[in-house]
Amino acid sequence: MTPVLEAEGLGRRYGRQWALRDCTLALPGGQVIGLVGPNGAGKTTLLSLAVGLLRPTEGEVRVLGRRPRSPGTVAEVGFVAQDKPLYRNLTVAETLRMGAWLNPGWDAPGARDRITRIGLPMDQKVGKLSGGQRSQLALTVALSKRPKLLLLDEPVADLDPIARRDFLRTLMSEVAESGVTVVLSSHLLADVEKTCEFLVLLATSHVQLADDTETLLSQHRMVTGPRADAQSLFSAHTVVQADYAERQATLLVRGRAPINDPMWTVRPVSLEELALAYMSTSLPQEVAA
Amino acid sequence: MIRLAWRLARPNLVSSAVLLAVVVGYAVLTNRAMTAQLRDSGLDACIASGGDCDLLAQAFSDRFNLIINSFGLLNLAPMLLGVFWGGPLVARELEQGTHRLVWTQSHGRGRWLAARLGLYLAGAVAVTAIMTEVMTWWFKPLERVQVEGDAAFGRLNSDVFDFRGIVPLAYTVFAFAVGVAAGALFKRTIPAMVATLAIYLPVKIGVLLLRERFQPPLTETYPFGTTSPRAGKGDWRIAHEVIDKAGTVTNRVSVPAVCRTLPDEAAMRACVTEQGGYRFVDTYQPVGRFWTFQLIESGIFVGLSAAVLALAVWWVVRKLA
Repeated sequence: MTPVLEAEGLGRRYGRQWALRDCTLALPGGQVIGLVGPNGAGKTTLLSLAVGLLRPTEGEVRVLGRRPRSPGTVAEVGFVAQDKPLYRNLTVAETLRMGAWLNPGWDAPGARDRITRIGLPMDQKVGKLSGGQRSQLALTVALSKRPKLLLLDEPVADLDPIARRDFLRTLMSEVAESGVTVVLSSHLLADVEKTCEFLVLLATSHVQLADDTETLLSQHRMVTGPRADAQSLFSAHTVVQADYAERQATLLVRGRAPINDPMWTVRPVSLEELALAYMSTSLPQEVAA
Repeated sequence: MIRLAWRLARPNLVSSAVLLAVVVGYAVLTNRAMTAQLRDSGLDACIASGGDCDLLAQAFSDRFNLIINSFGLLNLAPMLLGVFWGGPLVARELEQGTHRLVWTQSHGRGRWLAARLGLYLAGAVAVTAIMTEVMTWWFKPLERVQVEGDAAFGRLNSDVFDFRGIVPLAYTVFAFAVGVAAGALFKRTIPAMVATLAIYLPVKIGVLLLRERFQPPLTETYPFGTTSPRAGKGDWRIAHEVIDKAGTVTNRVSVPAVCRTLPDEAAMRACVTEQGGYRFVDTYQPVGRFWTFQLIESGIFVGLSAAVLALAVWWVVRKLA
């Protein structure tokens, strides 16, 4: 199966600043993929490159096996930018009509159903909608295009908890119904943890992790033990991150090599701990597997 | 795509149509007043009889001067269309982020630009064409009133030429193209609008200054103190000079001693002209070159527009990324 999104040495520079660099990825289809990283890690850049809004400075990105800007691809990829851009002077009904005008594969009955279900008034101007309603409308437009791949940039970042729950609920039911592949970026791990089966972690403009969450969790362990002995662990294991208290060391260890020393307590890692550890790792070469 | 372009442009187009209707209404009213004055003052009859109508013509000009000059403001119409339609076309979408919505729908940005550009360009050209038609009709009574030697309302005079024929359309296309390109380059509405002004005006004025050299001007030499044989034809008089016996241009007519003693003024003037060999020389563009000049000037602006539009399209499709 071709990956839905494939990057090869992908990089993008603004002026002298690299927003994304050496990005090599292959994202499998048919699931919800979380793109996590702190603000400024390159999430928006990666999504914009994938949807053809940006051109790479170096390397290459392929979406559904083709270049992002080739005509067929644009029709098959749905995208919702972070600020949920919509024409403010159009009504909800006109926004849906716009979707129909611009997309040959537009699912008009589906779009109307979704709007009814969300409870948006059709003759309301978009500029007068609440943030949550706008997000729902933007998602509806993206989904009704019937994309094979849906890219969402920070879809819930500026929503209150209820709007956030509603949004993710809509999204998940769509995924279950249509089998669309979703890549959603977030700087909040909680959203991703609940919804995503595959995790891509970006930090300092580089990809730190990319794998399905099960695998990631099983590959990492939290190890706690005396600080004085910590050095011995470094030689035998890949330590992603080390946290030192006065006497104690807490280490995130990658790999399955056994740790038999009774001085060390080993426990499974949570996704949050994992992500935080990788995000705060400043030097990417330390984690090269 | 064109339907979205239409929906987005609708408020703009409607308000411009209202403005256009106001201008047309004003033109109709003032045209009536001018026609009435022509008839009632006897100027019309005077012109028809071929007599000397300078005084009547002067009175007419004096009365309608303000109105006639107020229509000079319409010269700004192409520029305003460029500033208010062209400037925001790309810039506003970039500013409000809606390009990320519309460029990621199935049609992509090339089609988007084509639809929005095409619609607005057609609208702008239509507005200008209607305005030109109205102005031409409006000018009809004025055209008969040629104040002697001045040809104020001759078709080649820039106050008339700029509103006539096809040049207004070319100005509009150019101003619009500049607006669109500035919007794409600056990505902000206000700077794009300012840049449109800053680019359009110097080019417009520059071409205006060049106009008298589109073709070598003609000269007409005639006796000192008389009216040009071409008076009232509506030529564009570029220079009106006096030359002396040697044929050099002079701005000082000296009175030789032999003429000073002559008692009556007419005789003295005849003497001076005779002795000094003074003649009038007019440098002018004949009114018959009107369409040639229209074509040359339109060609310049359309050529520039094509280059600027190409830059705008290339920038949006290839560089805005």
